[in-house]
Amino acid sequence: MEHKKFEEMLILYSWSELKKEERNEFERHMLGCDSCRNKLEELKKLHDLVTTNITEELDENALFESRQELLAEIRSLNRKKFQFSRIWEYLTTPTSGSLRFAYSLASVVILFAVGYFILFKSTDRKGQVTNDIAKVESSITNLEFINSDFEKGEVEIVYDQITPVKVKGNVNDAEIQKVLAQSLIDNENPGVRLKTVSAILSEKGTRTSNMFKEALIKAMMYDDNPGVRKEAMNALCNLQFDDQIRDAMIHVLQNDKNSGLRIQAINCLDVKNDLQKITDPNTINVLKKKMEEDENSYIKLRAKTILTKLES
Amino acid sequence: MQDFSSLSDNDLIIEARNRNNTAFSNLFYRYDKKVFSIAAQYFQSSDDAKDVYQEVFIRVFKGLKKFEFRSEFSTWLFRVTTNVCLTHKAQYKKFQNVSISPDENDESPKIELKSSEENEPDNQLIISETKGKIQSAIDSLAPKQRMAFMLKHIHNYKIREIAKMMKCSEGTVKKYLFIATDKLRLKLKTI
Repeated sequence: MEHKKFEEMLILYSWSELKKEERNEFERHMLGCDSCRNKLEELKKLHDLVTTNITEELDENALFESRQELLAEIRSLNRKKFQFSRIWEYLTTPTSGSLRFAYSLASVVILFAVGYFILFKSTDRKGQVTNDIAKVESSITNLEFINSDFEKGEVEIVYDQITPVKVKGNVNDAEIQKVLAQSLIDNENPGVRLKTVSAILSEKGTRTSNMFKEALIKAMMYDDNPGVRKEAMNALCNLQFDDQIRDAMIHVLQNDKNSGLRIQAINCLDVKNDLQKITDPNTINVLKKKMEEDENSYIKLRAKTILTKLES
Repeated sequence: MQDFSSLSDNDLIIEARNRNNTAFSNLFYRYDKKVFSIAAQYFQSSDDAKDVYQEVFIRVFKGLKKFEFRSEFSTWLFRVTTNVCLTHKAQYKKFQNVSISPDENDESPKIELKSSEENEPDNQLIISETKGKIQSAIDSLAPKQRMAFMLKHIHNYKIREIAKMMKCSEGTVKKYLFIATDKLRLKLKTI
């Protein structure tokens, strides 16, 4: 667990993103760790490889052309704005009663038409949309031409084919677990990630694949949505406690800025699990630190309670 | 004639709102090279970069009236830039069909550098192949991972700056960078 912390710091160190104290801590660690020194060398090599091969000179001609086109477009937009504002001024200051009457009539007609489309046409539209969705099986996107010889009628293309897949089954099913595990990490919508965790929670019992457990651990430790982290933690608390889950809970207790989640983590360590599993030196050090330094008094008290139990 | 070069960004915005084209052009000249560079590096194409450049600055021009001065103009501008890059469909990009498989059974020729006097054209080919492999590896990243990676490694932005530009948390940017780095390490380990 201790070394895992340094593995995370390693990448941030290679990007010069560590604070001064963390940097010093990592550099002290690196003096005695060949693995981290080697990995750091690899990361530097990767960075050098990318920057020496990809960095290009700015295409000054293209930039110049872009500037000219933009200025022309801006002038055109300004001209249209000016004409529009003159017309608008003319229309909004009617000088005769008949013009006012015409405006009122036109407003009524427009409102009527809009209301008709909203109230009467929307159901038809919904039906049409449903039919359209039913027809589409797969779609092609990002099509690119690699090499083409149109004279000979030859083309070489690359494209992405996206085929929606509908699956129905039990969350115990290996295939479904695979898809859900991936969704928990990759899906950009936190609502979907939450539903994914709920799907897992709906499973009764503690039979869960390693892949699923690891996805839950990653979500609990790194998801940027606290709701998702909380639900992932709930799911993990219901599983058979092991070293991996323990280390993940400790990570949350140490690093999560949300005090509610830190409370949940320490409760999980104490109430649900065998205390023999948390006798390793790192866990004890973290609990001692929390007892002394956590800003939340409940966590301090809880840490003290666990340490007292361990001593007895 | 007024000297706009000494005005702050906010003052130029106020002038530009009054249809002062000179003020607007002074404003965008301060940042347009960077915008163009980000787009060109992301798409590896000057033509796509030109399209993105137009779209970014037209959006900015039209949005000036609604700009509330709560953040720096440059923060807003680069956020629009990354957003346009991520939503723009590349049309002109050249695709190099090179193998990037890290498999042991990969039969692609190993790269050896020979002396420049003997094999100048071969050397150029090797460099071009290497560049193609690296570019293909970067292109295989998901769009947001690629954007975060390019902003970090090519343009040297800090993670907190990238988070503002991509309108996400620093944790999310770190996630994108971790995943991108892992994927590239795997794909490029034969080089």
